[in-house]
Amino acid sequence: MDGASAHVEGRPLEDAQLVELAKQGDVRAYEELVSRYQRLAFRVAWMVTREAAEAEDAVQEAFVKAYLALPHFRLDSPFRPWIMRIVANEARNRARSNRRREGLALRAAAASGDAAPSPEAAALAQEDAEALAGAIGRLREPDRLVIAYRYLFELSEAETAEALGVRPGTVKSRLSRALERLRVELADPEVTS
Amino acid sequence: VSDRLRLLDDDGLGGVLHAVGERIDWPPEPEIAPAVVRSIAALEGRPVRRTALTLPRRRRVLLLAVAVVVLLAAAALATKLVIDLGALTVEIVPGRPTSLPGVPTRPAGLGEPVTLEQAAVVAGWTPLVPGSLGPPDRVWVDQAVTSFEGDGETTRVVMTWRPGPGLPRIPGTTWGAILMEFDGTAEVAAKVVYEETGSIRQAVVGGTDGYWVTGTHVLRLLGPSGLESHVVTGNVLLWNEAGIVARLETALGKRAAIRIADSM
Repeated sequence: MDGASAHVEGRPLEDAQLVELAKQGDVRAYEELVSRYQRLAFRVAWMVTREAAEAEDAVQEAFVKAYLALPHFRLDSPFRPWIMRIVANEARNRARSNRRREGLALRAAAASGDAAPSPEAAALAQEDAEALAGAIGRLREPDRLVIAYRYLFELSEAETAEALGVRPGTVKSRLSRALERLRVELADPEVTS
Repeated sequence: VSDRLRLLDDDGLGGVLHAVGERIDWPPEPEIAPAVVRSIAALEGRPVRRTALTLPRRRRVLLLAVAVVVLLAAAALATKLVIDLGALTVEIVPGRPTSLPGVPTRPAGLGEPVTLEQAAVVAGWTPLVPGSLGPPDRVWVDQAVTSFEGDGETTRVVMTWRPGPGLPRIPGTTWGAILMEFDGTAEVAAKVVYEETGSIRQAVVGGTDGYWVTGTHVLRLLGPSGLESHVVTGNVLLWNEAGIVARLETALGKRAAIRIADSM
């Protein structure tokens, strides 16, 4: 039985354990990591590329590159922000090549999905959700990404810093400026688009 | 609606955004893990099931396979061959050069002179610095180098270290080490290696395939003032570090250069 399959009957392995196995060449362990983060990675890539097929390709490529770079990955570091950073870089390269300039069509759905929403999400008025989702989609990519990491994907400040490749102290100021531009966008959608 | 939201302070607006996160209408995410595993298996030479690879992925896997074949067969072939690393390509051509550029690798001018911290801000990513060399003596950044084909842009950071103990001067330059890092897939640099005066071999950097180029060869770079050609007198290590294409030029041997790369 290989390392990754050893967890099947027990509790799931932690990221660090899977990374350690993957570093030793256990591709099944890496597959488990990819499965764990492919949804988040795809959403990050989509927020950068603004196009689903391009985002899918970016995520595939990023996970392969990350596997090749695993020997350099420190086991005491969190995997999630590290892979998000590689995904965003890959997606950014593709977005640059694409030269697409239109905004992201980010929309809010009605609060009646399959998953039970939190009380806050359930209480959020649909028009507020739509206004904010639309405004985020019209922001510049750096603003969009810092807001997405921190609020939509709920990364901690430290994880956001790692994912953006900046110092932890920089996240607060970047976030504050991004929120300010979000307010401007809410007031006048033409200003930043 | 907008006015009410705009009047919220950062914490208030953040709280609402948390709730928005649950309501975003995301596009359906594809199943990516199987394709990633197949690509890794292909790279490692294991049997690959040939299903469900998207066309762009299949093309890239093919390119990587071609690159490995090139390493094994370059010396025996009499036509030009190209290793494609994305932002940087290596052309292997038969024979010897009829003429060479007079200027050795000259980092100054390849972008704005900045500090390492400023380079990270301008580039949008943190340059990778080899710990064994310590902080670079000089840094330049170019935020958007337009590709040879004019179809994309790549960000470039160039770092240099002065010669010192264990770091001999690269012939014809004032530097002991020149490290160029490219973030992007648009081709902005090309090396031309002539079979009779240079060589290219496989190198493994931190478990990742890289290339070791020795002998006088030509480096073509797109800079702020257009295309520049340099004669390369040092030994060059090329590899890909988590999406960043790195080019390290020194007067050191292969093992020493790989040790530097491994310290990033």
